[in-house]
Amino acid sequence: MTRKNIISMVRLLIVFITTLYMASCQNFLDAEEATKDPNRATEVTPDLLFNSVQVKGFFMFEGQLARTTTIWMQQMSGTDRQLAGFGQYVVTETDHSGEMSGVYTGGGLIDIRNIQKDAEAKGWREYAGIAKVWEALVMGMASSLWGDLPYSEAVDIENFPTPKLDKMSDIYAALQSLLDEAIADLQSSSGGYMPPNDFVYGSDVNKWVEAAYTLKARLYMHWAKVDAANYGRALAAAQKGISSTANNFKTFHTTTENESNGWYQFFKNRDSYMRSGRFLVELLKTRQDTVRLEQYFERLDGTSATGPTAFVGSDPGDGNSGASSLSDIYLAKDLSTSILSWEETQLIIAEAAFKTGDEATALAKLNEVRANFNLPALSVSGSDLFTAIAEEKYVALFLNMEVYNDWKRTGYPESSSDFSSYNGLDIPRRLLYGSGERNANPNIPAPSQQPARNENDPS
Amino acid sequence: MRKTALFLWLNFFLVAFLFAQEGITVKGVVIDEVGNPLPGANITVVGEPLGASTDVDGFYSFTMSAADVGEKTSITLEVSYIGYKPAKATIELSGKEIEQNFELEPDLLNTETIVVTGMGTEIKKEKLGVTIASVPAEEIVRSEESNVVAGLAGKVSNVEITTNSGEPGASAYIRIRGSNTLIGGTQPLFVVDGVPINNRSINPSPHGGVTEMNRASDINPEDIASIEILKGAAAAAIYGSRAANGVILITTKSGKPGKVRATYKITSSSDEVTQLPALQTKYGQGLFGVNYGPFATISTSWGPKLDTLSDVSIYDHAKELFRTGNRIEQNLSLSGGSKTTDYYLSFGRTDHQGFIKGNNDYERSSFRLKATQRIGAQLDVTGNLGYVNTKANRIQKGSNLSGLLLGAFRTPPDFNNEPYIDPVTGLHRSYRYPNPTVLKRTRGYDNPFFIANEQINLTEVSRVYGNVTINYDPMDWLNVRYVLGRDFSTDNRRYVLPPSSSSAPEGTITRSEYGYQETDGNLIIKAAGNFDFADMAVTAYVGHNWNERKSTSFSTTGDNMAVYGFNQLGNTSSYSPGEYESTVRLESFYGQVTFDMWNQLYVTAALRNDGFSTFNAGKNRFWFPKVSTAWEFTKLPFLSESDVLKQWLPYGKLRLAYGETGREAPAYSTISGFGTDTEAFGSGWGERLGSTAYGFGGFYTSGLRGNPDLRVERTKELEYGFELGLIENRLSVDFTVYDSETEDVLYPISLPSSTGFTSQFRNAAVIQNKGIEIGIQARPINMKNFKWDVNLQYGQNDNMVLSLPDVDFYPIGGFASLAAYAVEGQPLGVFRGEDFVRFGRGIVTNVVDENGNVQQGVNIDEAYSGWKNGDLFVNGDGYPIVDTEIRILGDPNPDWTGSIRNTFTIFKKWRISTLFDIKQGGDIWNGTKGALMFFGTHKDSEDRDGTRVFEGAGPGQGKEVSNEGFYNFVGANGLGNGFTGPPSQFIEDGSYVKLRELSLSYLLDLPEINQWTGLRDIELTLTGRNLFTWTDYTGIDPETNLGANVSWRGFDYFNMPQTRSIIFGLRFNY
Repeated sequence: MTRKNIISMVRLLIVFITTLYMASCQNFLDAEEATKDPNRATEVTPDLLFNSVQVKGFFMFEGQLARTTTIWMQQMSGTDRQLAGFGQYVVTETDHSGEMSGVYTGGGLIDIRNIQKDAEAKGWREYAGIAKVWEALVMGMASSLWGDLPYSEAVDIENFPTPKLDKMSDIYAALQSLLDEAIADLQSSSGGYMPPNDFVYGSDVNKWVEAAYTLKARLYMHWAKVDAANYGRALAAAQKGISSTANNFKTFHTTTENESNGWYQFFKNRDSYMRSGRFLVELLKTRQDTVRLEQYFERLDGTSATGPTAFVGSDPGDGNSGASSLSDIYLAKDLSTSILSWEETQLIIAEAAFKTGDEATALAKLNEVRANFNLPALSVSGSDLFTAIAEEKYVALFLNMEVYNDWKRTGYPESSSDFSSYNGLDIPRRLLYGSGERNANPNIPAPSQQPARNENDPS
Repeated sequence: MRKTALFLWLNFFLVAFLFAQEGITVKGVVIDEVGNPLPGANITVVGEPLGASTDVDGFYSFTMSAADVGEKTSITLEVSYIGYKPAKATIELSGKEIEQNFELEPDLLNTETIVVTGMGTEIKKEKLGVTIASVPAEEIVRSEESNVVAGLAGKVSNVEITTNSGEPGASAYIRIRGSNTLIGGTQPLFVVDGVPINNRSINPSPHGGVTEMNRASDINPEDIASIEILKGAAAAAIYGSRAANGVILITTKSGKPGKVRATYKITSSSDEVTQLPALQTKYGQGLFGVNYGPFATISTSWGPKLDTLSDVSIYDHAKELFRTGNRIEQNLSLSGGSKTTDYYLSFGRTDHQGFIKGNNDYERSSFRLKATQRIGAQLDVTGNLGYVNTKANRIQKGSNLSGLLLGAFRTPPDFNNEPYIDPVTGLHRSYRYPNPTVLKRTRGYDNPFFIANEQINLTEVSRVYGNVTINYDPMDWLNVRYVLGRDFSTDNRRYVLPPSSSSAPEGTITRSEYGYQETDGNLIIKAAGNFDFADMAVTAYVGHNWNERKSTSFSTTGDNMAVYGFNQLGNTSSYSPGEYESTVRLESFYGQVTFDMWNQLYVTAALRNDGFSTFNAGKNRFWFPKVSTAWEFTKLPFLSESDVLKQWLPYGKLRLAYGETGREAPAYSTISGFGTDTEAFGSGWGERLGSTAYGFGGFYTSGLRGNPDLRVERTKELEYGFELGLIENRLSVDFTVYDSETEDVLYPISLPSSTGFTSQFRNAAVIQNKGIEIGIQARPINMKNFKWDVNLQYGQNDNMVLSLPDVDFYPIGGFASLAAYAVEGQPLGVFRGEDFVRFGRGIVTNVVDENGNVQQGVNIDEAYSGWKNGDLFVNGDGYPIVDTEIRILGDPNPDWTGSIRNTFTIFKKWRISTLFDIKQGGDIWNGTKGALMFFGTHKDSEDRDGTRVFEGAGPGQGKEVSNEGFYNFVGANGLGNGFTGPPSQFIEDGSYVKLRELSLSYLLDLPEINQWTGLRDIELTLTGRNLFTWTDYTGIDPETNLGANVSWRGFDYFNMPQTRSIIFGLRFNY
């Protein structure tokens, strides 16, 4: 090859490369069809977020957290694999890690706040009020289980990449004022836009106000153990609370598979993992509460409901997956369960009235609830009345996490010898922080450094 | 020099002009160094579209017409034959017949072969400064695997192949020189005739679902002319960010000038299951030794001893499901060419009926047409088109209530799974629901015969892939080539779980379609020149490449089937749709220069610049350099002139290379957004709630937060080694050492979920892979009628996660109780889970002392003596106790892999070949056994009356405890099973030696047949595939993994078994 050849070759290359570079317009890489994510939206309306918030909320209140507490409270029994472990009070930081994350992530607090921001910016006060009740409901539930939690610094990643733990008492104080704000918003008659997809109350402001008061009462009750003044506060709030079973705050489900009830979905996938708890089954038999027996549990044979074989429960460690399952009512796809209810409200009034020295109201409210389930009125007083109220709530709030909070306060039920402990392990009094959060957030202590009890539940 | 040549050429021209007026026949024989004919050797005329190949007797002939001869006075013939050095001869064109015979010298190292090095570059193997493994096409064909990836098993060192099961169409997993990424998988880039193609395995649920195909199995192995494997970054840097896992370059067959060649091949294969777990046959269904009352449908086999019962039959739930599978493959190819046109045309058809009694089959019809048209002397155009249609019906497996072996192996030995339909009610019956009365109800676990016969998992893939290549030689030193290629496929699925399936009692129909389109345009300009300085020859390439990959998926799941057996969505009452699409673009410039100096020193340098659509503008271009050198030191005069050395060390080369490759971020990981999903909220327990529920749309903040500052993952590899040809080139040694480090490895780092986000991709981890590779080829016996060839391959790869900032460990996949992780300072993919309390770990725990009293917080290492590190702690009750700390329990990466091939050629016509494939080390979690110990169906749970003493130290040392109490969850401690006991008990060594291939072939080339039928010859083959496996693994065949092409390896949880096959083949060559 001659020098001339080389020179012409080099020239050719230069021309060629330049042409190519000019021709390959940057657009090829930066064009929208190559860089925009077609699978995710970058802007959405509050209604769309509200849909997710509600579905997520229903999922949380009927999911692993409720399964765990209802097994610990022996309404149900863990009979297989990991749930048998829960039933023996073995719990690790991975067991509720996803649930703890879920409180904050998509459909959780971050989107509840997104709705509030958007609604407030647009002057839709009632809409914002609804979102605030949801926030108090979700965070109150979470704090009742985990105690101190990230809250004041939560869901603000730009400013707080690793949110700190707030004291449980500070969270509750904040939630009470959030609920007051919510009530004010809901009663503001601002006439702002309301969500068309409120599956709980159909955007009925009055029902939302009632729910907010019941929730306030519930959250006060959580602190009655450390400060009896909360009974009075709870009583005052509960009296403005949910006024009829028709106004219960219920989850919403349909027969469509991915809109169906969480209990149904769990049993569909993990049939043998859970059965009725022997404690509740036997309690219902003793109470002659055949309405609830049939309503809650699967009848195994046709003989007398209160006999030994029609309904059979399983104890911790039994692993008896031959015991009664949930009833067809509870395993219906479109079952809606109550998160906040008239029953809870009345029994809060009963308990708070009892504790503030008004046994007459206490008994009246107890019998009002009993009458609702075709049970005869009781005539008891003193500690028997208190136990009867606690028992009634334990039975009425079937599968509801509130039973666990009640137990921490009232000590009911503890009559069964193996209730409080199994094989040397006690029923945990709080949940361990999720490993997912702990691994990413240095503010979360290791399991061994975490308190055994929450601030509202001293021993 | 050049002037002299020109002068001579002119002289010849004048002379030839006078004689070459008529056609000339050129013929001859090609033989090897001991005088054996070499059939199938290619003879080409340099620079002319003429040539021939030899027949069985090594004879070739072709005719040049007067027009062909034209004004030429001489031509140069070139002969090539794999394993032999090519030879050239220049013959003068005179007379009517010219005889030119060739004797080829063996070349075990293939030093003279042209190796395709990627992106249109190629080089003679002797000049290559990196390791590129060439796999000859006949080795793939002889393996009798219909999946080309499976056919690579045991052929190349450090190329690990795992065929996922013996099912029809099962995918084969490939990993080259270890894993170097946390999210990118280990799939190398597949390039067919210069165009990248997809080798995806799509399985939305790797823990269950069916064994997926890998899309490279669409390639008909008969169409392959050669395969080159670029293992590491040093070799593959020219592919930049596409080559992080290496590159597999496949060249398909082309037609050759000469007479029409036709081949018809048919093979028939019989498959049998190789290895199954052992099940117990002594105890029946029940618990606490009885089968009573409410426990009548209990899931476990801890019931009564069967020999104490009357009227009991015992069933073998392992073997009853299987039959002899059968595969028929047919292939017809036609090729030929003329002066201006070459063509290759083939049809392939595979029909495979699987070894499970039920719906498992696979059909593949493939078609390929490749044709080249030459236009004038400077231009040629090649069109290359492949069409494939693949249909498969499979059976679900794994951790899945409707998986075949999960229900089968859990069935108590006293329950007869047949018939699976209750004769009275006509409903699906199972051991947990033996007398069915309701259709739409879970069966606990499905009856395996129901699964095999009623479940439908149909996949139909249509694929078109090919390219157009324009090749232009404007000057003798310049070549311009443009390749425009496209790979287009749709994968259309219908998965039906009929009503009464336990994972969908009401019946579910899922229709889905996965589409993939890859378009690639590649321009490459090659220039070559010679210089006087250092006898230098320079070859330079510059190129431009653009690539677009579009992936779409769409699915609709319909629930609650109204009518049994009607499998369209209209038969369901609620639907959940799902959709995903992505577009990824890449635009690159690259260049490469090779210097040949003093005919013995070869230096190659290359540089590539990749631009990505997946990174943010302005931060989306990255450089990938490489440089390699090869020095053929045996060409030094004092070595090449020594006769002794010429005989004993005729060839020696040292290599040193460095290169970088990369991997781009997953699409859209720089962006934050709002998601919507029909299964938005759910848990590992199976609940699924859609954000769009109740007829309203629903969006939520996506947990993945975008990171606008992402960079490519970058692998830097240093590779060096030597190649030696010894003893007249009858022994060759190829030794390679490599050390690669992958930096900026991407993974989604967990964010505190209290921020509202769960994760964000970051460039953080560093992963190292280093190892050695040895290849030895020898021909110990080389006689006229008996040849013995040996080929040894050895590969060792040490993998280590050097750095994993921000997290202590990163889960790659697996189960809650045992998963594969990245852990700093450990090989990638180690198992983590619980173990028993052992000595030497500083464990402080509550123990039961000799007297049965609980002692709190005992440091066992201090409190007890007589132990060695790792000894089991035996508690006062005689049982071990569980250590709740999660520990590293095993490593699924093999210590080394290797293979030995022996080939014997006898009387030229007989060929016997054996291939042993060896994997040493590599743990497998036998989760199947762990589960079966819980259910009491595993053979090891059979000794229930017996007692055992746990070997170890501690207060309970030497104490006898009952076997049953150890195994059985509901009794005593129940630590001996995988559900309530630590998974460490079920981790086993997955080493194996396999007789991968035993083949016998005979070439029938009787002249009578030739004369009577015109057939050139008939080849008869008898092949055994996976005939024997030697292993200590107690589950199914240790060549297994639950997820097909996932990076968590070594998981066995009701995986589908492997098969061994006997294959008979006939090939007719015309």
